[in-house]
Amino acid sequence: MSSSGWNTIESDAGVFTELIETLGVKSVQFDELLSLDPSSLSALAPLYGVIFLFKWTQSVIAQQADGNGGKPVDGEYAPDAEYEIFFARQKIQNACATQAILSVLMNRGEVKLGSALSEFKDFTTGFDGELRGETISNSDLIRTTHNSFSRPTPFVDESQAPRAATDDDDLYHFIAYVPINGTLYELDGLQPYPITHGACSDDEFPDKLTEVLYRRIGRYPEGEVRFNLLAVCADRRELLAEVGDVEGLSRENEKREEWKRENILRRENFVGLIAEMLKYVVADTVEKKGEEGFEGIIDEAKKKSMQRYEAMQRRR
Amino acid sequence: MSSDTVTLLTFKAGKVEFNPPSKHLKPLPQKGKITLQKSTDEESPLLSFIWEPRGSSKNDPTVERDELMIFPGEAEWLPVAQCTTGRVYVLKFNSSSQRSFFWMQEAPSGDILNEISENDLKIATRINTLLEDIDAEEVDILEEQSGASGDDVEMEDLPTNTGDSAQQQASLSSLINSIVIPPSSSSTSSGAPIHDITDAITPKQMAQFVDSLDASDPRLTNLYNFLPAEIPKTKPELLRVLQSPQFLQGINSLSQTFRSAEGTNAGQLVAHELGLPYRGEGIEAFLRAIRAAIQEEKDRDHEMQE
Repeated sequence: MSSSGWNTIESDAGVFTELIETLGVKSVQFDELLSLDPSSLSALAPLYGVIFLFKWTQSVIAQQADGNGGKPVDGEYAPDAEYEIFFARQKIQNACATQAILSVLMNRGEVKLGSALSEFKDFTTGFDGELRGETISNSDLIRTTHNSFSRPTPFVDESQAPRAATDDDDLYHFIAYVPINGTLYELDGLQPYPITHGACSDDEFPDKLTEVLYRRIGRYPEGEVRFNLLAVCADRRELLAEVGDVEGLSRENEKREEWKRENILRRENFVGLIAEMLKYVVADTVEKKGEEGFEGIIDEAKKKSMQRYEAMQRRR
Repeated sequence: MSSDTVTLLTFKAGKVEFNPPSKHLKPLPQKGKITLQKSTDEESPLLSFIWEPRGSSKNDPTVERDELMIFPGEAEWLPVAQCTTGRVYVLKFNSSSQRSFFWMQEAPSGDILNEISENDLKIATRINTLLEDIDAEEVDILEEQSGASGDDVEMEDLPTNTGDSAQQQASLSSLINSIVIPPSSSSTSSGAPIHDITDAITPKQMAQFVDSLDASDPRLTNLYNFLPAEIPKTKPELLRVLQSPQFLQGINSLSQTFRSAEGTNAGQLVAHELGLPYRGEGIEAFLRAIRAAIQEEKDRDHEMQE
């Protein structure tokens, strides 16, 4: 399959939460983890899994090359688990966030998947990772939902080849960590098999995961990797309502409102608004300062751009 | 080039070493100060953020002065909440993953050595104002505090657990930042082409313009037509949109369309869609097309009146 059908989307708790809700999942949300320690993880119980996402440089990709047939750098390959749990090989770069999300949701029995994803899960039962990855890539429902969160490009030119991925969006990678039936799994679509990190109950997950991630982070050369952690947990609003925490609930509701608003804005390219705003500001300048005012804006912009280039070069 | 500078703000702070793999912050013992300066020899003043050793640390040959040039809106000064054993701030750049950490060496409030003080907050507010707008009005607080800052905080005054054993994890949040894309070599050669629409007109200027409009101004009503359907058509909501990161991303993405127009007709297509008389290539041509469109609209109105 070509990769042209999958757009890049922003990795954000608000985006992912709305994405899974659109796919029909109920009572699950994402939360960004600000620090990596067992107590922040425990605070989000019930915690279904964690998505570790990072942006890497070429040197790290080289290290990570898959299919070496040997052992993973940390943990053990579990070739048999490939059929027992939901594990998918990565087929399309841009789909890998959605794939990591599914790797958490599909492996936690208590998650209410909704009819579409339940059917998808049943359909792919018994597949190997390769075929499961292929099936995700080919799913119209998942692709369309995923793409609905991307900003349209300012122009539509069907004669052109799809935009080549730039360094910026090409180098993200998403890995799911999930406790499944008493074992801590690392589900990485670039690896040949699921990786296990030993026995792990749901209660032990925060501690064990912290250890595994610290080992992982420690392996990267300084400055080579930027990363972020997203927890997949139960909808906080339902838990807060249950215990009657009015203040907490209103905070979560506000956060939801803000996510909703941000997601609306994410779907815009604002080309029309930008052009109108520029016309008004330019007209206003010309009215107040004449043609010189406009030329002043242009000169100023060139000067700023020059300084920007110089500053970028210095920083490099 | 004789460069005249004006000092806008200075306060005592030490550097903190950041170790990305472990997320550990390690405060360095040297005494230092941070100065924000404005260069006045340019029409568009630049902000310099300088860290240099002070007092006895000046004689330490291993310590070097750091200077960073910062564009308006390019960086923020934020407290590192995860650090509970000291008063640590981070200078965080929006356009790159670069970040620098510092620990406040101004006198703490009372006996609480590890808590952000009133004074730290005032300094932070002032820095962020200057990072946003270099010409922001000077406020009195800084005069007040320079008198009140009292003795230096020496290393011995620090809580003893600030050392390695208690290194704190920095925020993992938003460590993923967009990389600064270097200009292609051709674009830097002669008379810099405009890199981004915001170099000419910033979202802030747009917001200021909107803010200045009367609620009944027909231009506001026109602008509301360009808001997403779900957003209420009010001036405050329009202002919120103009100040949102998503709107800025929209401008950056449109800028990129015109910038990378070489060999493609993307810029032409967008300009055509907007009904702009776009000639040439690049962001300058786009802005000139905007200017020409205003004139065309004006002439048309004149003809209609005659």
